[in-house]
Parts: sequence; C-alpha cells; structure tokens
Amino acid sequence: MQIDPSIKSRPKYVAPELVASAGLQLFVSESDAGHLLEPLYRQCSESGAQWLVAEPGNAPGTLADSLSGYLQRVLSDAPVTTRLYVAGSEGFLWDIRNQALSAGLVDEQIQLAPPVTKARRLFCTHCYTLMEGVTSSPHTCSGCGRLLLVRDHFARLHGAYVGVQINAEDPEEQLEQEVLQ
Amino acid sequence: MRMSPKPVQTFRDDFSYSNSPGAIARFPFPFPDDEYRYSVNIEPHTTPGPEGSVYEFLLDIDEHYLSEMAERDIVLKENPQRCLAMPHMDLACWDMIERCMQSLAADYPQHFSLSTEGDQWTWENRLLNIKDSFTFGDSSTLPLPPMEYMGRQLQGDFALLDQRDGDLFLDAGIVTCPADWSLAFDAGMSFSEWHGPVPLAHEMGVFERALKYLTAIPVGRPVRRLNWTLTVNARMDTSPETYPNWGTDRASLTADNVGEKVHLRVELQVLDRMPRSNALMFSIRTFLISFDDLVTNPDWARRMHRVLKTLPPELVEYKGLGRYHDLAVEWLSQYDPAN
Amino acid sequence: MSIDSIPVRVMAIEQVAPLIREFKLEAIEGKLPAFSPGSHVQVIMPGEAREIRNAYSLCSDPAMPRRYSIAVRLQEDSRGGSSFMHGEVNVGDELAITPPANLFAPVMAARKHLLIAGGVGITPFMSYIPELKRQGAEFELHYLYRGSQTGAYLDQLQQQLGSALHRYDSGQGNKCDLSTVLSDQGPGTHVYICGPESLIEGVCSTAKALGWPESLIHYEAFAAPEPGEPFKAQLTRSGKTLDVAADESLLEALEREGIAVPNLCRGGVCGQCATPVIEGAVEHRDEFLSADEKANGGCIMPCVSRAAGKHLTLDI
Repeated sequence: MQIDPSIKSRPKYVAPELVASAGLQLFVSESDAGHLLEPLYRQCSESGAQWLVAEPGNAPGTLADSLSGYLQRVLSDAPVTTRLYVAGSEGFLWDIRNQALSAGLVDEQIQLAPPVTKARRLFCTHCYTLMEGVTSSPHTCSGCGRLLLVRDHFARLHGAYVGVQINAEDPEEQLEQEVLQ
Repeated sequence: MRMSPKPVQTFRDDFSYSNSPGAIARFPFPFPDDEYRYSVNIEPHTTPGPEGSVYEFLLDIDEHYLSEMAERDIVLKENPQRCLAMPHMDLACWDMIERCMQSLAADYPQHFSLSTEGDQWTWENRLLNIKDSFTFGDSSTLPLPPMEYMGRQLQGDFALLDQRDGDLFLDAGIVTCPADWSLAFDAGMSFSEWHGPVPLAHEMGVFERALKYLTAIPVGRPVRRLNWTLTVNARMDTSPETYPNWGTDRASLTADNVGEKVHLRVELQVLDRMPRSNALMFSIRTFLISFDDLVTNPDWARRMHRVLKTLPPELVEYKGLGRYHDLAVEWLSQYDPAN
Repeated sequence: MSIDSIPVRVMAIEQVAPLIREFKLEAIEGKLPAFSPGSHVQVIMPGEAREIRNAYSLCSDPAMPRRYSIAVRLQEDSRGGSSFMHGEVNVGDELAITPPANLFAPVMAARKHLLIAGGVGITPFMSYIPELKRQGAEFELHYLYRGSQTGAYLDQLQQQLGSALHRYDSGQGNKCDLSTVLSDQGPGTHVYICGPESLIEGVCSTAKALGWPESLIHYEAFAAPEPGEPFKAQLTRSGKTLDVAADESLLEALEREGIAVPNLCRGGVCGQCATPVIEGAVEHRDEFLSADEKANGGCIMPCVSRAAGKHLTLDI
C-alpha cells in the first residue's frame, strides 16, 4: 500500500528563519539537533537569546521533567514578542510546541526545524499505545501486537501518526515492509 | 409518517437491524445526480421541514432510537474514550444540553419533557425511563459528564467544535458510530487537519470555502449536508478502533449476498451555532439501508448504480470500497436499463 | 427552530453619551436567544424611502440574555440608520432584529486580554467584561473617547474595573501611548480593538513594529457602506435591471427589489453575501475576498462594494 501524498494533516517543515523583532529568541533542541539552530543563535545578541538542550530518548509524550519545568519557567516570564525555535525528533518538536501553546504562545511564534530523523511517533488506533522511533510500515504494536499500517494522518496534539491494522480484511495477506519517508 | 421507536435490534453479531416500509420511504437518499461530484453541498436546515421527513426537526428520532441507544451503551462500556470533552468545552456542552433538550421536548412531546425554573431544570425521557433534576450549568449535578449524559439520549454522533482564530477545533464529542474516524486520535484537530485524509477536495478548495461559511453561521440558523459511504452489514460502529472486528466483513461478500449485506450509509450532518460558547454543534445522524431495501425504489436503484460506476478511484479507495466496488456495481447493474 | 428575524420591543432608551443612545430590547413573544461575548445583531428599520439594516454589537451581559442592549452613535453623515434610531425610535416601538452572530469572540484560552476601545467601539467590550470577570480572566481596558461626544458607560466601568480601566479623553488632551500599552506584555496576551479605522491601524502597526505575532491581534472593522457613484446593476437570472443610488449599497438595492441575498455583517467581513459578477469592473471595499479574488473580479460583496464604472452584470 502506498503512502498517500495527498494527506494534508502531515506537517510540512521548513528551515527556521530568525525573526529579528523578537523580545526573546528562545531555542530548544535535543542534543543531537543543535546544529540546525546554531547559525540562527549566532546571529542573536547574547542578552536576547536563550538555548535549552534536552537529552534524547524520553518516553513518548513526556519531556524530561527538568527541561519541561525549566521551559515552563522561561515561558511564563517571556515577553509576548517571544519567538521559539525547536529542533530534534518529530515527536519532540510537537511536545515542545504543545507545552508552548499551553503557556499562551501561538503557532505563529513557533518554528519547528525539519526533524533530524525520519523515525515517527505512532499512535495505535486500536489500543491507543504511543510508540517512538518507528521507521518502517507495517509496524507491530507494542501494546496490542497488531500489525499496523503507518498512515500519513498526523495529530499535532499527540505529535504522532496514526496506525491502523493492515491485514484486518485478510489476515493471510502477504505484506511488504516499506521504509518510511 | 412519523416513526415510533420499536424494540431493540442489533447492529452487531446477528445484525437483526431492519427498516420498516415507512423507514425506507423516508430514507435520505443523497444523490441529486447520476454522477457523484464533490461540492460544498451545504444548505440551510430550515425547520420544521416536510412533515415526517428526516429534515422535519433539528434532531431526528426514528424507529431505531432504542436500538441505537443500546448500541451506544455497548460501545461506551467497551471503550469510555469514545466520548470526550476538553475542560474548556464545558460551557459548550451545556449549550448543547439546552439546545437538544428544548428541541426534543418541543418536537417530540410524547417522549420528552423539560421544565425549567430559573436554573433548576427537570428533564424527562420516557423512552429510556430517565427523569433527572439538575442545576443548569453545573456539571456536578448531572449523573454523567454533560456530553455523555446528553449523547446517550440522542441518535447519531455529536461533536462540539470550538471556534478560534477563524478555524474550528474538534475539542469534544461522542462518537460511537463513525464512518472510519477516531475521536481519540482526531481530538483537538483543526478543520483542515481532521479532513486531512479526504482526497481531492483540498485541491478543489472545498474546505477553505466551507470553513469560511461555517465560521459565520449565526445562532438559530443551522445548516446541513449529506455524506455517504457503503458499509458491509448493518454495522453502526465502523470505527478504526474496532476495525479488526469488522475488516473481514468486506471479504465475506459474494454475488449472492450483496443485496442483503451491503448497506448505503448516509450521514445527515447538521451544524448549529451554540449561543453562549460560540462553538458549533456538529451532529452526524447515520441512516443505514440494505441494497435489497434500496432497490425497492427503482429510481434509487438506477442512480446508485450510476454513481458507484462513475466514482473516482481515489474515492473508491478512501471510502474503503476497493475490495467489493466491482461486485456492488455488477449487482446493481441489473436495475439499470442503460446496461 | 430556525429563526429569520425576531420581533422586539424597545423597553428603554437612555442617552449614555452626548452622541450615543442605548436601546434595551425585549422579545415580543418568548425569549431572546442566549449569545456569546462579542456578538452582534442586525436591526431592521422600516425607513421612509427603504428598509435600513445596520449591525450593532450587543452591549449587555451574556449571562442575562432576556434583554439585549445596543448602543448607537449618531453619525454626522448618517445614511439613515443612526438618525432613524436617534430620531424615530421611541420606548414601546417595535423593531425586528436578526439572531446574534459573532465575528469578534474573545479567545478564552488567552492569558491576558488587552481591550482597546475607541468611542462607540466600547460596545462589544460591554459584553466581554462581565464574562471575563466571571472567568477570573486577567484583562485591562484602554478606552479612548471624546467626552463632548462619546465616552459611554464610564462611571459604570470605573466602578467595575478600578485600576484595570485606563481612560483617555482626547477633549482633555489625554493621549494614549499605544507603544507603552503594547510593550512589556507577557506571553498569551491577546489584544482586541474596536473603534475607528485609524485606531485599528495604529494598534496594528505599533504592535507589528514591536514584534507582536499577528494572530494575537483581533479587531472588528465593520465598514459601514460608504456612498459612491450611482450605477446600474443588470441581473441575469431575474432579468431585472436596477438603479443603485449614490447613498445606498448594492445589497440594499437588491433587497428593495425583493431579491434575498444571505448576509450577516453588512460590513464586508462575513462573506455571506458574495455574488458572482459576469461583467463590469468592481470597486472592492470588503475585507473578505483575497487580493487574488479581488483582482480576478469574479465576485462582489454587495454590502459594501460597488461598480467601478457605470454598470455591473450579476449572476443572480
């Protein structure tokens, strides 16, 4: 089964650009994604910019407490003209974005760099399990064991793509493994 | 003819669901032309509509009421997350309660009544033997959360769309009979996101135009549209959650059982502005009719054949018809003199 | 239960500022619908030459929807609406209104609401404020007015809001420094502007210069239809040709001929009255159509826009 290019909920990412008029330039990255933001950071004055770095490999949907708590504090004191730049894996990008929204930011203030890997976070539509680092389809659900087709339909709130059992209509079907793009 | 609820029939296992001749006569056949086309097919839902029709009132109650409420109870017991409301949607849920209770009590006084004394309300649903008194606006005075309380007494799925920044967000709902979409996954999505998987229409600008129209709907002027797909067996809960249970249904079709098993599934979708919260109530009232019952109307039989035959392949795929589209077209062709 | 228009009776009229009159309206039968903060209604006035319809914000507490209040400023160059309301309407009179619609709702998830009102632009905020107070939301009101003309509800607001009210009477030479108001605001502050075009423009450009994201800026800019040159409109479907006078809108001319066109705001915002144009150049004055759509000329918003030349042919 082909991944449908017409699905419009899949986010399109472009390299962030510095918005010069920001009252605070806030950079958040996973440790292996800093290079994506570094050129922008270098253009900022020291007083007007901050950078928070997260260790990768957290459980789905939960940022490390230390980063989350620190980000919370920074955002609660930030000016309304703050601009936020995020780099890392796709799930991480949306976790940070969702935390920023709950602090009052709007999407217009947030730029997400293209994810550093093609690995996806996957939501099993049958048992609601979230899985990290999914690189091929179909993928066996770690919750219910079903073989899931990884679709391009994306939920920003979960930071995840939806997975639906691929052989529900015919359990005998021979399936080819496809590497996710 | 107005429909009275009949005893409980099933939408699973033995599928005892059936339509009476009266229910067939009022079935909302959705195709105005022989060829299916996408369009922003939204029109005012001006009530009262024709007497006895599915358009007569804001909310349609028909002979399947008890069956659908029993089915909803099964689904929610299996998976309580088929109903959800984000905390900021509480006011919208109460808007929905007011609108639905007032409509039902006015339109079906033989089944429902509402008495209000300031914010002290008493609601009676004689079909389900419910009588409750509560304080309007205070969710703690209801036996269930407001969305579930109301949703368990209404036919069809309901969503409440929060309106922000010129867009609509799917922030509350009770969805137990969807045509293959998951409330748990789609919760919080914007209008164009939750329509993400729909092919062709984005390129045609359908959603952009529809959104501009929908965000401007005023209080008291609901609009409606019809949507359709096909479902194998009279199964209400064709959700992605339960797809492992019903996926094999599609492979069970043969030329001999198409008429009995394939059902045209029509959704009467109504969008109605909630006055206090400015949310939109999105009701999706699902009607099922077997092909055997459908072809008792020769005009419907002929048109159904032509629509299916000319359906673009993207839509055949999207509606999940791939496995039996040809079979259905072939079976229907016997009712179309052009073939 | 679909509603076209609601007959109402005028229960009370109060002069709330030298040029602003408030009208309290009550349903003649049954109850008025509940409404959300920022909603407006159209008032349908039986004018002498023709029916007049103007949109007015509801300026009463949404928790008390038994009565609606609207406040009308007498416009110097009134096209009939405000002078009708001020001159012809008395207590006990019957009018008709449309059900409420809302194109200017507060963002309830905002961390803070910064309300900026100019003159009669205070009206939508009169429905915001009770709701924001009930929700315990943080907000401040910056109210610009000219005491000799406007400045409605000042005492009431002073009492309710205390230090959250900032008043600027231009007649007394009190100026509002927008740059100060918009600086030093925290994340999730949304700003709402209702008032003359110049105020909206001023806030938007100041905020933009300070680096505010546009999606935090909300304004209600109903343009009252401005007069223009008279023109002829040829209607292909009904076969009619109408003369649109200099001081009436195309929408009003269509309604005068009994041609119903759906509409909500009558100010070029909601997009409901979009009408296909077959021939003739359009002078677009609306906020709804995109620049491309305007350039393409296939569509007109008859509530505010007019023919650029002597005639238009419409597919209606």
